[in-house]
This record gives sequence, structure tokens and C-alpha cells, in this order.
Amino acid sequence: MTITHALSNALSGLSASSRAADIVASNVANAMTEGYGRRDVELSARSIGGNASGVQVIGITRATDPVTTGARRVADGQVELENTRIEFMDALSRSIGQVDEANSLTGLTVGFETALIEAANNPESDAHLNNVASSAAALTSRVNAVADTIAELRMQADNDIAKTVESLQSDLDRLVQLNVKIVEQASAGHDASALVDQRHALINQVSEIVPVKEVLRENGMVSLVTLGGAILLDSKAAELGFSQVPTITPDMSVSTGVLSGLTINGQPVSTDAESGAIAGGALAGLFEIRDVLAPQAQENIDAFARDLVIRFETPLVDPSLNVGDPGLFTDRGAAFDPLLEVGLANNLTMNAAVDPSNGGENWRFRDGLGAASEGNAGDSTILQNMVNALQSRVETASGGFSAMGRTVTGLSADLYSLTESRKLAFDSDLTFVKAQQAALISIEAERGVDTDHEMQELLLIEQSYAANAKVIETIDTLLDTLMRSV
Amino acid sequence: MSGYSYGDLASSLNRSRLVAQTKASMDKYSYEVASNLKSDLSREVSGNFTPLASMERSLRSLESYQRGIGAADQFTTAVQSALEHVSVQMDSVATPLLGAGAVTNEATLNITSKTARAALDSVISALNTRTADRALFSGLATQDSPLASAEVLIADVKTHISGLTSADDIEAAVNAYFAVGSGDFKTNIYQGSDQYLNGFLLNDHERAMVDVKASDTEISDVLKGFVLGSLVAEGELDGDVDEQAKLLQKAGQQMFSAESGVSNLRASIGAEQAKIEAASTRNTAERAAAELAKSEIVSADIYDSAAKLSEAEVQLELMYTITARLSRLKLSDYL
Repeated sequence: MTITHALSNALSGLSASSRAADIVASNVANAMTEGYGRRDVELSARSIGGNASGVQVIGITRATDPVTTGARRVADGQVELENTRIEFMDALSRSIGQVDEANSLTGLTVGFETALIEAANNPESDAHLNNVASSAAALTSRVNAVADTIAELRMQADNDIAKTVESLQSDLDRLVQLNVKIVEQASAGHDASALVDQRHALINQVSEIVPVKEVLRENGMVSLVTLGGAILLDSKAAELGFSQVPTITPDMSVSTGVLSGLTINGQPVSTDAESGAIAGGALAGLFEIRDVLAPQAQENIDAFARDLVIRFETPLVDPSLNVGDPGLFTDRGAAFDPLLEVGLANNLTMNAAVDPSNGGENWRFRDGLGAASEGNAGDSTILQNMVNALQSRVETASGGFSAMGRTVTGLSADLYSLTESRKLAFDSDLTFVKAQQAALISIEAERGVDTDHEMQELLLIEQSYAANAKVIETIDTLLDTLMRSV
Repeated sequence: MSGYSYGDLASSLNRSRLVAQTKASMDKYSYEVASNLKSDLSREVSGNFTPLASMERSLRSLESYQRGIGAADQFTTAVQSALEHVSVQMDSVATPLLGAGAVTNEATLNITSKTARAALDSVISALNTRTADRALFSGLATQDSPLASAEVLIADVKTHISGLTSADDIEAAVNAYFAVGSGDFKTNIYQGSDQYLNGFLLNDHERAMVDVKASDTEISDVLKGFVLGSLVAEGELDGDVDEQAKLLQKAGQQMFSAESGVSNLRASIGAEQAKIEAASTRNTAERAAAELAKSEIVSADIYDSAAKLSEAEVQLELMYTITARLSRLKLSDYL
């Protein structure tokens, strides 16, 4: 009968309105949730047996903008990559110290030079010779400290890689589970939006480590492909392989096989930050620190140490030395060996003959490292030679510096400048990608919940509910009238 | 059920980003105004710290050089003063000695010789002066006094002239005693080093040399004169008045001829003193220039920064007003 038919139509209207109200409530509740996909009710006219029968809720759609989201995830990864690089350069830079600080590498180099100048003008003075000894010791310590910082940062990077790979692996495993659950829900006809929100957030997390492209598969599953083309998630999660090393010495590297690279499903992959399989995110940044930036910094400080050592390791400065004898600065007591330049900065030590804390005598600065006993108190020959050694322009022989003549102060300043300009380059890259990221986040957020819009929807829902309720009331009255007349 | 919508989060994210940016700018400019230093020095110098390092080095090394100049000044003044004393002694004794050639009274000759002997004491003591605990005329061996005492010198000379009875013979023997290279003066009496001092470092390029030691001919010629003049008072040529007078006259001649040597020494020390003075002035000027250059690199333009700070303040106030206005506009207020 058409009256009962009308009743059932009105009831379907009521339930559709209630469902819509539910969705509005959910949206409003999540107005501040980042990553929440605004829900929408999809309605269509219901048809039973060829006759129009009211309204049905076909499904709940979740608003997505895959293009913007994809681009934003790439930007997220790049921001993390640049941040990782800058953190390293910052720590390195602070360890070397800005050139006008007294305790910086340059400051201590100048301190050593001025101590020598004053001792050369007062060679009799024990106090001045002590000053030379302590300023040489301070300079040596600073070189050691910079090398130690580099080693620490490198080990920290290796450690962080292990932790990050572990966390990435567990994220991928959880994504497999989410994929399965979403397919189950969708096949059973339920609304899987909440699970999709979770998966969206998890993929965001993964993207900071390795930016990925989300590819929609059948039944609502997704697979993840990195920018470099490696498949991290398909029907199963990829197996990532990495082994940490307990201590790293400057001579260790991936090419010698001592440090571990990354394997995906058993295959070793390139970890290059710009073009490798895991390019563009924090993980690639960590590999870059361990395998490129730290070794580069080590090379630089080793070259500085080498320059310092060879300036003093000659009978032209200290006639009491034979050719081949270690000079004022040594490689743990030995003379410089070009084959052992890597790690020289870690091993730089003051010659024991002149180190009061090591059984040496400070008058050997004046009388020569090989002097058996004190000589003429007014003899400033060797001290003046040492001043000259610091002030003369020596061609920098290694470390990626251009082969021009530099004073020691000049070389220390160039070392710091090299570090700072690399940092500036990363800084300006960061500014660029941050601006991109901000713009993309903003565009993504535009598709988020708009409470004004929800309020307007609520108005419509109220109207519709009231109207449907009125229809039911009227039908009820009609039926009553019919019943009474029977 | 879809229409046009613009997410709430979009506008609030944008606004908070702009507010944060403006506050960061304000922080930066207020630091620059308060400390007068550029806030991001690395960016301002484009990562090139070599000029700043060079200025730092200049400033600190010039400070050290100025102290060296102080030491050089002190040393050369002391040397000059000792040499002046020597000159004065020579002047007071040379003329009477020369005039002694005509004297026949043994007592007078004795007194003249005694004056010369006393002057020898004074000269040796002047040459043995130390300043800041360094000997002035010992060359590199500043820990040792340059000359043995006058008594030792006279005793040593006497062993070389024992038995000689004529002024000519004595003069020849004393000449041999003081001869450079072969004489025993250097071996027995001079206690310093064979090498001159290395010179004081005045700045990166200049040194002040003090090339004088007690074994130099200029000094030993002076000592020779005083020694010759003292021998009569020490009992040599006893009774032979003619030879005594001759010896004293020879002493006077020797002293006059030694005068030019001493003046030359004093002149060259004087030249070094002038050099030290000039270097000091130059260092002071260079220091001022380096300080200026350094401040140009690291100092902020506070007028510029203050203007930008006010701009940022205004901007922030506007952002706050806009944020407040927009947040008051919600549809739910009107329902």
C-alpha cells in the first residue's frame, strides 16, 4: 500500500538525516585533528523492485588530495634531510669555534703564535716558556677535540641509522596489517575511514624517514614506492637490513666493507641522499653524515694537523733535530707518515721532550727538542724560527684545500669558513623546502574540516529531519483517520 | 551533501606561521640593536671568515709585539746608558793621562794612574750591568756577566807583562793580550757568548738588533787604555819615572783613539732606538686600523636594525588584530 510505502520512505529520510548528523558531529569533533580526512555522506535515491523508495546512504567518502599529499610528503622528507645535515654542520662548527672566539681553533692558533712572540722577546723567562707550553697544549687539545666530535657524530649517525631502520621496519609491518584490515572492512561494507586515517598518519611518519609515493591498489590497499624506485610495501613489507658497528675509527668506511650499507630484501641499495633508493629523507641524511660529511670533515682537520706537524718537523726550525725526527707536534710521539694521515688529528700529541706533564722540560722550546741541558738564556733563535714557521706561507698539501700558500691562522680560518659555507648552502636549501612544505600543508589543510560549512550542513539536516518527521506525523494522522472510520 | 568549504586549520596554520616569523624577526633585530653585533654573522660574510680571522690575529699579535717593544726599549736604553758612562769616564781620564807625558814627579804620576785604576773599576761595573735580569754585553749568554772583575783583569795582565821594563814592551804585550782571536783577554776575562743577541721582534717584519758585546774591539780598545793607565798605580815600572810617564801618555793616546769606536757604537744603538720608536708608532696605527676593520665586519647598523624592529612590531600588532577579528567570525554565533 502506498501509505506504508510513504512511511518507509520518510523513515529512510530520517535515518539518512541521522547518519548525516553523525558525520557532521564526527567532523566537528575532529576539526583540529591534523591528518583527518573530512567525511561526507554520499546519498542516492533508493530503488526497490524498480520503484523509487526513498533515500539510501551509499557510503561515507573521505576527502583526499593525493597529488598535494604526495608532494607534501616529499617536502616533509626533504625538510628532515636538510635538518639532519644542518645539525651535523652546526655541531662541527661549534666544535671548531668562530674565529674571533679565544677558545676556537683560530683563537688558539693565534694564542700559540703570540706566546711564541713574547717568549722570543724574553727567552730567559720561565713564565713565558710555560705559556708557550700551555698554549701549544691547548691548540693540540682543540685539534683532538674537533676530531673526537667528528668521530662521535659519526658513531651517533650509525646508531641512529640502526634505530631508524628498526622503526621504519615496524611501521611497514603495521601498514601491512592496516592494509589487510581495511580490505576486510571494505568488503564487509563497513566504513573503513578511521583505519584509513591511521594509515595516512603512519605513511606520513614513514615519509619523514624515506619519502614515498602512495599507489592505490584494489579493494583500498596501498603500496609504497620510494622516490628512488624501491618498493617498500606491496602485499608484504620489504625486509630492511642494516648492522650497527660498536666503534668507528676514522679509517673505516663502507667501501672497505667495515661499515654496513643498507639492504632491501637482501639486495644492497645505494644510500645516496639525492639519487639513491632511499633518497630525500632523514635516513638518507644519516647515511650522508656517516659516509660523506663526517669523512670530509675528518679529511679537513687531518690536513690542518698535518700542516701543523710538518711546519715544525724540520732541522731548519730546530737544529737539534735530525731529518726524520718527530718535531714539536707528533703523531702519538712519531714523525709524520703520509700513509697515516687519516686520523692524524685524533692522534696529534705534543712532543714529550717539551711537555711538562709528560716528563719534558719547557726550556727545550728555547734550546731545541734534542737539547740535553739548558743553553744560553738569551738565545731566541729557535723561538724566532718557530714564529716564522707559523707566519710563513706553506702550500696546503691535502684535505681538499686549494694548494695555495697559507699561514697557520689562514688555514684555520679557511677550515672554519669551509664548514660555515657548507652549512649556509644547506640552510638556504632548508629555507626553500620549508617554504614549499608550508605551502603544501596549507593547501592540504584547505580540504580539512570547515566548521562553518558543517554548521550550514547542520541547518539542512535539521530542516530535512523536521520535514521527514512532519511527513511521518501526517501519515500517522491519515492512518488514524482510516482506523477511526473503520 | 557537498558544497564549497575552506578548512579551519588552513587559515590558522598560516596565521600562526606568519606570527612566528614576525616574532623571530623581532628577536633578531632587538639582539642587533642591543648588542651592536650582527645576528647572523655567517650569512653576512657569506661564510668567509678569513678577513675576520686576519684582523683578530693582527690585533692580538700587535699587542704582543708592543710588549716586545717595551722590552727592547728598556734593553737599548740600558745599553746606551752604560756606554754613556764609559764615555764620561774616558773623557775625565784621557786628558790627564795624555798630559802625564810631560810630568816628572813620581807622586803625581801615581795619582793620575790611581784615577785611571778607579775609572777602570767603574767602567767594568757599568759593562756588567743587568736589566730585567739579563746581562747587556754578554751576547746570547745573558745569564752570565760579561767581564770578570777589574782585580782579576789586572792580575791576568800583570802575569803577561812580568819582567818587562820599558813602556814600549809593556804596550806591545798588552796589545797582544787584547788581540782579537789570539789574545788571552777573551779566554780569561770575557765570560759571555761569541754570538750577538738575536734581536727583538718589533712586528711581523722588523727586528731591533743590539749587536754589541764586551769582547768587541770597540770595548776592548777602551779597556786597553784604562789598563795601560792603571799599571803604574799597580807597581809596574817602579822607580823609572821616564818610562812611567811614557806609559801613561801611551794610555792617553789609546783612550783618544778608542773614542770614535765608542761613539760609533752609541750611534748605531741610537739608530736602533729610533727604529723601535717608529715601529711602536706604526704598530699603534695598524692596531687602530685593524680594530676599525674588525668592527666593520661584526657590527650591526643599529639605525637600520631599529627601523626594521619598529616595522616588525607594527606587523605583529596587525597580525594580532587580524587573528582576533577573524576568530570572532563564526557561523555558530549567528545560529
